[in-house]
Amino acid sequence: MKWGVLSEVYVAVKSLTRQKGILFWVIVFPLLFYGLEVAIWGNPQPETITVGVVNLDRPVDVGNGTLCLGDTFVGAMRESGLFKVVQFNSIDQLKNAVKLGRVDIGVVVPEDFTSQIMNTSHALIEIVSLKTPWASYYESVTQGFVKAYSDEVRNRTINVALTYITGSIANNTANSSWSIPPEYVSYIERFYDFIKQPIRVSEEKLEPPLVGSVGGIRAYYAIGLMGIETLFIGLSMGIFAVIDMKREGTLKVLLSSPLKSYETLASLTLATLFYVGVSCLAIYLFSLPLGADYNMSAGTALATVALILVGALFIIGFGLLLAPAARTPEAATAIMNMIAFPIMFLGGFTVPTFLLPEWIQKFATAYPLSRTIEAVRQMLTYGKGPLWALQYSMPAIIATVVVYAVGVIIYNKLVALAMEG
Amino acid sequence: MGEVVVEDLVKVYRDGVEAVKGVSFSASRGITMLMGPNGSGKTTTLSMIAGSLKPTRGKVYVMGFDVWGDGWVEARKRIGFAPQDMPFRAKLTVLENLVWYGLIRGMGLGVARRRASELLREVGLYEHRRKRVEELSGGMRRRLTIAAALIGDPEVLILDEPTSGLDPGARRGFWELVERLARDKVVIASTHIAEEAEKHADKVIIFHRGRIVAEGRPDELIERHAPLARIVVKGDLRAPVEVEGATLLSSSPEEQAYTTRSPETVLPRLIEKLIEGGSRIESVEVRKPGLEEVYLRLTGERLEG
Repeated sequence: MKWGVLSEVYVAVKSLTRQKGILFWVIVFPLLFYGLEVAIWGNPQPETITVGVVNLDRPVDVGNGTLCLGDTFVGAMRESGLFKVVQFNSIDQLKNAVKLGRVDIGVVVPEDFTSQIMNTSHALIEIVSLKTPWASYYESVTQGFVKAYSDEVRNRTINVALTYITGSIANNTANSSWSIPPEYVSYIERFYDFIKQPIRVSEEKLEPPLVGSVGGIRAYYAIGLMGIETLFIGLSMGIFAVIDMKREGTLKVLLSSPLKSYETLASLTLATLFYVGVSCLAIYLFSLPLGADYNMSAGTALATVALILVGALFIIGFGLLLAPAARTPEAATAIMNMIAFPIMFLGGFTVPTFLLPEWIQKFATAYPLSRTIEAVRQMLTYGKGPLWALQYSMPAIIATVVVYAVGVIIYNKLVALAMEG
Repeated sequence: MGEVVVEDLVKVYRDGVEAVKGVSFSASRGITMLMGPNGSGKTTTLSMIAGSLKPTRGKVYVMGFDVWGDGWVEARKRIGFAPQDMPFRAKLTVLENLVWYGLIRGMGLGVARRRASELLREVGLYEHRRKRVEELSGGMRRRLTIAAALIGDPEVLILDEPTSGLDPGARRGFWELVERLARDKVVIASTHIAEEAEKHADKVIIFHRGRIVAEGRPDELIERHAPLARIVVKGDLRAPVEVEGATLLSSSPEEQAYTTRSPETVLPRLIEKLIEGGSRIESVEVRKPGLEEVYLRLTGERLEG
């Protein structure tokens, strides 16, 4: 064997820990990716379901007090560990929350819930859910819970009935000609029907404006992809801004030109916005023949452009905050990968936010780029208005102004440092 | 007072290296060359004049504007800078690269395009305008560099080692181009080739270890610091001879070298005496003094490429 064939193996072994790019791609990235996968999809289903409840049930007098089975039902939901219960005052509020995805599913306890059960008549629980593929899981869990509660009611009713029937039989055994009085027959029939399923479920499927349809889902993911592109392009510009110009030698030329430092940054920013714009437009155009269906109007289109612009400016600024750590192109690449990939998952760009675990959802709601992209989604797939989207994005807009401004200061410092030689 | 004035320029890098140690000079219209070996402080000085490297101390005025003071924008508008490896965008064509430089200089797209086309015609690259820069030869790339530095019609052209890596023919062609295109401009260039400075510079500033050791017109410098010509005789030689006005520098049976202030007068008498002494002469070479010798005299070191 010629040792020469192992020369590259030698180089690879030596490079593994010394070259950060290789270390990242060979070891750090797969671990990171796997960790995220486990965190996001490791559990077969979300641990708790956020259920919105409207409890309209009225208490019923039971001799020594009052009884409100609606309260008992909601309490049982809370104690089950399956649900995080959010109470609403009206059915409209509940439906609105379901439509906006603020709760996974809605439950309405009717005002005659207790009285119906006390009269051994069927009580009706209404379940409100979105007509989406992923709502079926929430429905089946909720229905399962209602059924279990219904079974509990049945068992108790049977126990009460047994006590009553046993007493009746004892009182009437002396009378051999005793038979069930005819006026009791219909009651007994209703009782048997009741105990088959004391609580029944009615379902109302809400039609989400778009996202429930195939077209809506495809638009939903296309918007997510726009977020990913904005993330990668913007972050890359921010992190590489100065280091790339130094490497290419263009910094020398720019420094000797009449351009001011902020003008060069503006030029870079515009170039980045151009790339982001082209990329988003390409995604949009590509998604149309694939069936994506957007709630597009002049207003929503304008707001979409504005929100993506805000998201891009934020991420450029965010990249500039990281730029001082990128002292070499290799370091810049490593930082870029280390930051961009986790955000891609944590920010709810690749996976719908509502499928993410709650702690990730919090990040996705708070992270400015995710928030602007979510606002675009709400507009283009849930049918929210441009003003709502802009209002929802206000914290992201404020964060963008702050982060970009700090980014400009850092950029100027880096350029000044480069000027020092 | 020149159009470019450099006063007591000092550059100490963050690692403590003092690259330029108090340099002062001025440059007027014509070609001023900073001559010195690599590491003598030429590039650092040019970068500080061009505005891309901040001096630790000192002042640079371009057309009266302080490059590192309040007038920096006006000063930079008047500067065309071509660093050692002029950066060009790999994915852009020759014409597009010049347009890009035009935009950096503040030109509108249409104006930049027109000016870029004009310049490409002037430097003889118009027919290559659609090529990528990487497809150009070294000489062509240098011509493009000149065009890029000239695109903003600057009054001051700063060229850092512009002919480095070119063969003598291409170097000559390059300087002819500079002389043609920038005859009314202040051109400040750096070189480590003495012959180049001697032939093309109106003024030479000699750098040695971050300091200026001499400056002046090339002929003045030679006259002042290395006035003696060298006569080298080769053949089957006998003992060296004594001739008035000539001094023996070295001697061997194959080669003798003499120095003299007036080779025209000394040479006939020297050859006559050598032949009389029994030497058989194969060749005689008169080496006129140049900036190379000046550098050697001033620094005790050779000016290496």
